[in-house]
Amino acid sequence: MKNRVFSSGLFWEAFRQLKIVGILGCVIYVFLCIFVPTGINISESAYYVNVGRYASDALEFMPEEMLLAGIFISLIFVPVMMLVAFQFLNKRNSCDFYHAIPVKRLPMYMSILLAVLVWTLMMILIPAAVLGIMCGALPYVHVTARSLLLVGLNVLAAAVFVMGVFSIGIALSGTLFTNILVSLIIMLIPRLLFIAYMTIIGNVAVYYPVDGMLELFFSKTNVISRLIVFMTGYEGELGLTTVFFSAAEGIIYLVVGGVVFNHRKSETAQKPSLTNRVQIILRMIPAYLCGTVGAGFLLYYFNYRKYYVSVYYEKEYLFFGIVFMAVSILLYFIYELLTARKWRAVLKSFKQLPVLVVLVAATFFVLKFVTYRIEAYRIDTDEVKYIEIKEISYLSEDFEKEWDKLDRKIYDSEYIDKIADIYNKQADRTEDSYTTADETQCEISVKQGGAVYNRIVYIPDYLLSDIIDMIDEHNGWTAGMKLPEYSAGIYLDMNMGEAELSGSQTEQLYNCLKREIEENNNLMNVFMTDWEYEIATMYVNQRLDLRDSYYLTYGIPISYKTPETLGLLSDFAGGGENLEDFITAIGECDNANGEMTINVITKDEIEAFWVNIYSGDDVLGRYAELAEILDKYGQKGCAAGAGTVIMKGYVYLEDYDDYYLTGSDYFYEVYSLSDEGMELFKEICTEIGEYWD
Amino acid sequence: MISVEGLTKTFDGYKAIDNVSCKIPEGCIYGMVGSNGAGKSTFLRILTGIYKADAGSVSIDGKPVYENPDIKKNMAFVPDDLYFVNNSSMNRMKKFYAGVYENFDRKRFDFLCSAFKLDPSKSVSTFSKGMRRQAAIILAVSTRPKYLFLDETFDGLDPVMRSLVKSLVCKDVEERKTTVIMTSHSLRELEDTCDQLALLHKGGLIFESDIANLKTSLFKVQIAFVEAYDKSRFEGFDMLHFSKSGSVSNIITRGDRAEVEERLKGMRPAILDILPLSLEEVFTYEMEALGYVFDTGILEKEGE
Repeated sequence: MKNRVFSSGLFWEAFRQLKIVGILGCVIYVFLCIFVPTGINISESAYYVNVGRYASDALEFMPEEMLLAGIFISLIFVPVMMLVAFQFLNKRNSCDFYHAIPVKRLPMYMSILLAVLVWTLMMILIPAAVLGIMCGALPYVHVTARSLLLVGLNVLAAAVFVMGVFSIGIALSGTLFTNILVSLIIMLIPRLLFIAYMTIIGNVAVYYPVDGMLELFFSKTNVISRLIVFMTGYEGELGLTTVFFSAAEGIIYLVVGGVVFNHRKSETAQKPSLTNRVQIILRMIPAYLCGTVGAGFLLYYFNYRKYYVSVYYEKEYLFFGIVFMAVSILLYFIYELLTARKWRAVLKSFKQLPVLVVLVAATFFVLKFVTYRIEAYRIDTDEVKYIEIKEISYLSEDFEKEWDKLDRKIYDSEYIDKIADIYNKQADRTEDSYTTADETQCEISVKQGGAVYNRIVYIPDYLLSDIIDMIDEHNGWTAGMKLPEYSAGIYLDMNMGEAELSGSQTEQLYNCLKREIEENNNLMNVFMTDWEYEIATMYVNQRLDLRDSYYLTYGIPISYKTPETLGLLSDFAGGGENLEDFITAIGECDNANGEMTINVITKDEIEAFWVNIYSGDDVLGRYAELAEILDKYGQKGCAAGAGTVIMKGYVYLEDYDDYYLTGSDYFYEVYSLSDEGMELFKEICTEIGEYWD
Repeated sequence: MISVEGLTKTFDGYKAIDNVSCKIPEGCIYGMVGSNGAGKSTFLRILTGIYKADAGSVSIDGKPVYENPDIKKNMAFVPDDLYFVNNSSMNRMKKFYAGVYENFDRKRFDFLCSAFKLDPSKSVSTFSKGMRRQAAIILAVSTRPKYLFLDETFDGLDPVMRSLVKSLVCKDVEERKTTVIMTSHSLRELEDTCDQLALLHKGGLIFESDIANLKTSLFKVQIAFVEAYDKSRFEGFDMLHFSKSGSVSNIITRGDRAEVEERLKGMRPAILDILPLSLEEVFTYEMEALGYVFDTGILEKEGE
């Protein structure tokens, strides 16, 4: 078997050739593993040093930070190692030399690849050990073996993915420049094409949900795109799913790379690509992507002309479409010029240009057909077996996971008829495609005949509320969705101001919230509180197992829906201050600025007002009138419900946005009001406040 | 034995090797000559399994070469364009060779390094062109090959080193029955070393022959007649070249020397001399016959 599938001699040779890059990578990553946790330790300890509860609880080291550092390995060192290890393929003399030695191509590929992999593993394992030691030594940062394992596996999966991409890129081309270019094409173009197709479909067929597919494609199936999403601020999850998909994709690429390498001729060295046909395909790909974007703009143009003749930017779409088409053709020739570096080759490439034109035209018509088919669909209630509410737009990201676990299918013909009616009107464009204040965007799945149709529908809140209740009842919420027992991972965000609660107050508040929700069996309902009614948010951090998310955060709103908890919060956070003190505090300063939200709950409705209040305000007296009404008609400290007002406010110095006044800088209050008082109160709120909506 | 049948190799529509067939016996030193771009290097690369032939076959000891490590482990190739790992020394290259050639002889390597006076710990990049070629030859012969392929063998070597390399090659042939296939533009060197010689031109094998046969089958005739005459007088002779200066003609002809001499004497010439040709002259006239001729006088027009 010696030299049949693996050549130890070649492995060690490649290993030696990678020594400089490998050691450099290890050193840099070790440095990162020392400095990143140290930096986090310094910043976090300084931030929380005055909060006893946090100080006693060493901060969990976020694996994403290390994963970001690990990107150096995956995106810089692995490609460099691949290019160094396989650089012999790009020169005639070196390529001939390697192909003259008594090692077949496949074992040659495997041996060199293994050398890259071994260096990559060393780049992961050595820094991981250093990271473990660092976190053990730092008081405010700790890392678990599980986190380390997850980071390590994610970095390794990303490395395998990049190795796979470059193995094909290098095998398909014969110069350093084309190695990199072709690898980037393989790495990016399928993803960019997918985005292009989905975005075009989603923009033309506006009721077709594409976000889920895009999210699945980026956040859950590839470590690198997952990291890009993370860097853009999306928290998401870090689990084994990305590891599995990235590694699987990488392994497939490695196999393809091996096949290409096995068939690669020595004379490919110093040529832009393996064969003329491959070169034609490669120069066509970026140009096709650009042409597809152009086709998308033309599709928007025709679509907007069809439905929204008056929309002024329709001509922009036409312009962009033409520009992208022109750039596509330019890109086609630029690729040939850059890779072949011969004007004659550019002239020869004219022959295949019609193929590009036909491909882009075919894409335009296929997309047109697909979007036409999507738009032509109407829900036929006679054939519908069920409608499933897959997503509700205002569900928090973390809670979507819980929602996904439920049986959300609606079999009730009455609800099916209502949803079908709403959707069909939307699709007929007899109703606006954008949500209004009283509607919520939902993603539904319609089982109609033998097929399932995914669509977006804007369901009125009253109807959605009924539907949720039905689903809630059907699934038995409290049975499956009890809040966990209080732990150190639970904390309160006041959303506004700097009210600090002690650990025992937070615990009391949480236990009250848990009991209140469980008694009322309304966890789902509480979760679905519109954000303008949230007075505070209780965050529950929960660690899940390795197969799932590493970290889950529930944000449970505290609002009029949890009146007891709200009352308790008012006691704890109110600080004994009231609206009158609050207004006085603002009035006494020259440069104070305040914000206040007021929920006015009557037996018929609930309204949310937002008020900006500042020193020297002409209508400062009107706020004082509010205080007088509360004093005259109200009673403080009752449970939120019909006939009550909930207020929260905070004030800060105008020159220093982050500097809060002490004493009367914030207040949380719940008042019950008589009907007369409520009437007067609402009148002033309407005059001085702004509706959130 | 190396057996080549109908070998053809094309690069972007250009036929570098066109239907070449030959047999190279074991223990033979086989020289290859040809004009620039004749296909010698390509031919060697196909023989060593670097290139895959588009048509035809190459077999060594009855087995195909391409992607066959069992055959390749007994082969060593020193190309015209040498390769050493970046910034490597000969010691480093020794490790590389020892890792992939199971017959690599470290003792022989050390011995040859000292014989050629090369410092194996110095970076090869600091070596001169000739030293690099010596290094490559040392590495190649240290693999104890059964088949040794040398492209532009003596390129860059000084006369002393040429002699040393020739001795080294001949020793291996003599002691180990190594088969050597070498190309060179120095016909003088090939003449001294090779048993057989092949001429490649435009991808085709024009002839292959024992050196001795080659030199005796082609010869130069100097002839003059009292009466006026021209080229047509020699119709029936296998002439490669004819030139006339005054009444004396120079003819390069092919055939049995005794027979040609007899026929020419029968024409009653005033002067008749039959001279042997050097290998270089044989090559030049054979190539001329194939149309590979350049008038050196053209250079004299430069600057006019």
